[in-house]
Amino acid sequence: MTRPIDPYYVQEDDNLDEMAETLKPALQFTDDDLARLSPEAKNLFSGRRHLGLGWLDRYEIVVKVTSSPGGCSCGMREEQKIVFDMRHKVKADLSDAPLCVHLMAPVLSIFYMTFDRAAEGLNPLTCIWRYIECPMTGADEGASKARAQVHIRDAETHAPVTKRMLAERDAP
Amino acid sequence: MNFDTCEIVATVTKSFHCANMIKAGETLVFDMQGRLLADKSSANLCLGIIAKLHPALLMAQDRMAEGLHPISARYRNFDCFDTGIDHGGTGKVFVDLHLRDAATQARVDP
Repeated sequence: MTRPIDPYYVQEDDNLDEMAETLKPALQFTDDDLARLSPEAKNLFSGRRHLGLGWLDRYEIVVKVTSSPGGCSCGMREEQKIVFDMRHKVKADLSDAPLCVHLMAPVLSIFYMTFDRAAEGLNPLTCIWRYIECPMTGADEGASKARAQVHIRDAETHAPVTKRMLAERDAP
Repeated sequence: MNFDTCEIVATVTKSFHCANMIKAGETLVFDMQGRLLADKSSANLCLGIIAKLHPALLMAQDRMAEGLHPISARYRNFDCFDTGIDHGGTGKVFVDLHLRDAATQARVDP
């Protein structure tokens, strides 16, 4: 027995037809694959429906180091940044910080929120979890660890994107 | 051996429906501090698998501190956070870890 799904979200019999020709080559999907995706996985792709087909290429997530007073063995320094595309790939050519996995790992949670929020038509960046820090606490109770702030920007202009609702259509 | 001069290599052993188009045989390379070395990596730098390797990078440092080979025989195979199309997700990437000498690229086995 299937549970009812709010009409804003992708329904079980909705196979994302309008984006199928984009998704199939990008993900090696067949029509059968698209049909057997879970409603939750279909919602992942529905960000395209709410924010526009090209939203994943329109924005970037920037992790900017706000403090690193010393002791960071990875060499993070204040003002350095790590840039990601919206498919959570590091853009090494736009990044000037060491690609420290300790600092980058917490960003994955923020990316999961971006997909969830896009499916709601919202600005992909969480309004809450915008600060991250190195998990290495150290004997100085974290005083010397690297800390960073996360923001979303337009990939072309690099202007911060602060508008809350980015949906290009209203909820039904 | 001084493991500080080594690198950890995650080699993709299998992938399917990966949105970041990661393919079998590609690699992600890390130094022993836990930094991703983009110029030595051939796979797209997807955080979905990179973040999954964070515990392995911490474990490598722990093992080095104990004088052990950095790659645990028990924890060397990892997959990304996506659960895959058959389990409510979309795609999946699997990797196998090994150690290599940074200067010679020669594999350093236990």
